[in-house]
Amino acid sequence: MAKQMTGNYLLQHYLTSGAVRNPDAAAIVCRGARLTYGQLERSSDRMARLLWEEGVRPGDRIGIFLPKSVETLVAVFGILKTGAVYVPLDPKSPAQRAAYIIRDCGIRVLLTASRQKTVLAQILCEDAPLRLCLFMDSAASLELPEGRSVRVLDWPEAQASVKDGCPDLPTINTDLAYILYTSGSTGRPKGVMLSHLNAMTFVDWAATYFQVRPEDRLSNHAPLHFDLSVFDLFASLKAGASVFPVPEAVTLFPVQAAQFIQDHRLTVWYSVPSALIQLLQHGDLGRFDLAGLRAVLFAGEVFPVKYLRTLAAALPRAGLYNLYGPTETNVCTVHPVGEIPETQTTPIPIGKACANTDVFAVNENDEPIREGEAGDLFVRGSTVMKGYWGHPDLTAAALVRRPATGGGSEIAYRTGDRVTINEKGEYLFLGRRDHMIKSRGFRIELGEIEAVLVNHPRVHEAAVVAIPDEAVGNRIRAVIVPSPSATLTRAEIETHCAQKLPHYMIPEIIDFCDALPRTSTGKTDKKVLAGEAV
Amino acid sequence: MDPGMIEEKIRTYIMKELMHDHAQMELKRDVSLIDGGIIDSLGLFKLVSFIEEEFRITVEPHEVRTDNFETLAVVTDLVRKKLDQRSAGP
Repeated sequence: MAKQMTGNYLLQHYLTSGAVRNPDAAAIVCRGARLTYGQLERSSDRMARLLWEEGVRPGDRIGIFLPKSVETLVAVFGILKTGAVYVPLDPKSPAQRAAYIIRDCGIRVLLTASRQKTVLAQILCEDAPLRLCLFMDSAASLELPEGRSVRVLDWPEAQASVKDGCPDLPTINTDLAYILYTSGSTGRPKGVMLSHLNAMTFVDWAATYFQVRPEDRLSNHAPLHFDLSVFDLFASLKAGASVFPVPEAVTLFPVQAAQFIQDHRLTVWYSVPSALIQLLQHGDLGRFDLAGLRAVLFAGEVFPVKYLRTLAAALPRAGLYNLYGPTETNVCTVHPVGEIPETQTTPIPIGKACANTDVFAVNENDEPIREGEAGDLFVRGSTVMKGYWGHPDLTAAALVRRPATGGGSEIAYRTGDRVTINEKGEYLFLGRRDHMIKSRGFRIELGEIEAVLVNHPRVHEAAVVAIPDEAVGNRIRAVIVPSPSATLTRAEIETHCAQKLPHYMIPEIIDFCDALPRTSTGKTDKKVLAGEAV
Repeated sequence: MDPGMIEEKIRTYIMKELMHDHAQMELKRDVSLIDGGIIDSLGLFKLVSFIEEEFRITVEPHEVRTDNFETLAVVTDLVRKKLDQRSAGP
């Protein structure tokens, strides 16, 4: 089927263009497997055709429940090419949380791998509307709970009988491309809906700004359910470069991560600061040649300047860039890190707005902030999400109507972040308005953890606070009041949390007490609780 | 210290401190701690500190690798080798 390159321009066309220009170039290399642009284009065409024949239609939500692999990209592009929406699920997610997301956005088709079989069996025991599980490797046998019927297909087998070419679609760039679930304060994760235009506004800017070229070799450190992966996967494909997903085990071991950068001669790295700090502290960098790195990008949390200085010394040839932006807007500001004076202890700026994006901050009187003044940060422009899946209330609270320049009004995203501005017009991050925190770059609503804790039958009350920590952002402390005459152990709480929360949200410090400290207004005194643990 | 005792100490620590998710599961010596999601980056460094303190050994940064931490069996081997080196040393 001829490609309609003159038609709409969508995320999948980065790949299609690359396959036309240079079909034999490597698009993705992972765990010893490699796919060229041509192979990835054909394979994802067949995936799209298969999904289409299985009844997938534009707008359908399709889950991706896969560890990093070359097949992940086949899945992403196959889904996009049917006009459907990909929903990445954390492959390490507890079954209950994954099942919640599957129910929440009505995922009926899940692309997965045999490594996920145990947890998948648990998901199928929960109430989940799945009707097709497509195994990207081979399912061998999936044990289904009694009375549960789910169609199971093996991709290696199924693709052989699928025709080439993908269906012609009515999709346009304001249609949804993917949904990313983030922690929600109500105790449930919420789905951030992002369109092709949202993603491409960022990707087009980033590929140009960072001058990504065909000879570049990009890392993909973040998991697919984390929006940092949008840069890695799509900016590399737009540029005709190669992307190297870092296997989960390698991200655990800093020495192996350093080896990975050296062996694959990576030129561009993008991760949360804590991964880079780990690399600096435990990566034994003196033993490795990382001089190929020309750009190191980080986002997701504040990078303490003392570590940033060490990083600059360890990688003297690499440009360092601080990126900022919530999942709801992807990256919206950038700050190229220059010389950091020895005396500087204050954090570096989050910088200035990216192309086709505007950021502004207002004070309590809704006036634009002046130099040095604190205010609430808003983002407007085509990177701003379409809303939260199934939550018009949350959407309305986050996407607010503001007066537009020159009259009328327009929608802006209220980030909930407090910022100030310096004499160069650069924004500086001050903190959050609410109880959202970052730990190892993961976004965490403390309320979600509290909601899980109080659900335990023997928990009377619980409060969760963040203890600031330079290396990981924050550590999480839970203080629990057991029900009268009940006994509870730390292990019981941990097990309870592990069944409902991702590992990075399980409190690291768990303490018990008879009553929570209160403020004069009767609220839980979180300042006291956060102070006690220091 | 005999290898069985080393293994048991490490198993007890992992089960008590790192396996919230699999509280009912018995930790077999050849189960992957990584693929099984038993240790994350925080858990890994807790485990390293534990074996350093418990057995009074030093684990060098370059030794913190999959080969030495993939399973309970290889962690035990690492500790045993370190203890042997120490008792053979000056």
